[in-house]
Amino acid sequence: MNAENDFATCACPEYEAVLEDYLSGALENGASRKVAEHLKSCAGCSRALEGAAAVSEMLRGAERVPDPGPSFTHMVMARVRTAEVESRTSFWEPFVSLAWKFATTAALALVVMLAYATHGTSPTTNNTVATAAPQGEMQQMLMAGQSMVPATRSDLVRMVTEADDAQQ
Amino acid sequence: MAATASAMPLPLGAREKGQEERALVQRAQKGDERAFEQLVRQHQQRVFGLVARVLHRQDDVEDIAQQVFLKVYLSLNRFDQRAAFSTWLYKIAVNECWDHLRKKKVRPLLYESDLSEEQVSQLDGIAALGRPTEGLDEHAETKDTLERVLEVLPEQDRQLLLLKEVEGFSVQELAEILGLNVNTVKVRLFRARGRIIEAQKRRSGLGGLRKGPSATERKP
Repeated sequence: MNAENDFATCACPEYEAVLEDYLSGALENGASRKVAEHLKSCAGCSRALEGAAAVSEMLRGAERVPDPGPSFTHMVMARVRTAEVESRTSFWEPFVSLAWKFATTAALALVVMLAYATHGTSPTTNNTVATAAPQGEMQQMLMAGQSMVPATRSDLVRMVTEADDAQQ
Repeated sequence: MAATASAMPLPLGAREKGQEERALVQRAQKGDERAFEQLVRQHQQRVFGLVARVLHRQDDVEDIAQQVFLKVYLSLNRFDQRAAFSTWLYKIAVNECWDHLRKKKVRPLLYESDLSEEQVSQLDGIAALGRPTEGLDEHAETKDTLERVLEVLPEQDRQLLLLKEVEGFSVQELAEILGLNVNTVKVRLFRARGRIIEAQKRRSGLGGLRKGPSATERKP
């Protein structure tokens, strides 16, 4: 039929899939007989099948990729176990983190409440005294600072003159 | 014309094996590590072969194969046993390989015209393919030249041929794993063999076809 063409196109297109089955011995008896009859009358398909069989034979002579062995199984199982531990950890991690935050806050609140209950109001009075002094000093400093700032242009001229006089 | 492989019921041994595997999968889904370990042992060679053939190189094969089993374990509860476990496993393996190749941006194709003169002359030694069975038993030489012979094929056809003829995957399995129609797989397999023969003829000048430009001609 297509005997004059190259191998790739020499088999009848409608027979390509069937010839693959024929080559693998996957056809039922009746179907196999039909193909055999077709091959008798079709040089193209016969030639294609002959070449395909040669390639198959060569490929079957090739070695399979060898079994990686028990060490591979052990490595896989080790990775599986690690992944399982990690997945468990990652599932509980947000809850654990939240629990720690809650516990820390609660502990701090407890310490403050205990301190308040133990010392009553006296520390507050001391604190007021302790903070009163710096507050007064600051007010004085601010007032002094305010007096140093010239309110008008004439004040500024006066201040500069006074400074020059003082230097002389 | 009906193919026996898809029409005939499974042989008794295969059916028992299938039931045994289902039971193992169920146990593994319930958290039985030993059952999963047994599944790994049963399938590791085929997964290893599949990964090696798809990646087309030796490095990374072990790591990717391990990654495949890890993924299978982590998504085991989503497997509903409607398909065969092996098919599901091999699909994951193929996807993992493709992801790996995509990440590495590997283009594992080598064209015939990229071969050096020396490589072409080595290939001439197996031009005997045009004359079936002659010299095919020289195993050591064949192994070395096999990869070179297959380099004339597009990547997927090369994978199909190797997985079918060397690693023993059935046409049905290949169709399911690679997401192709069964008939498409058959036609591609048959045509791939044809391409190999054509390439050999071209190299030995039997076909009278013009060779593609060599690597040296294309790259000044």
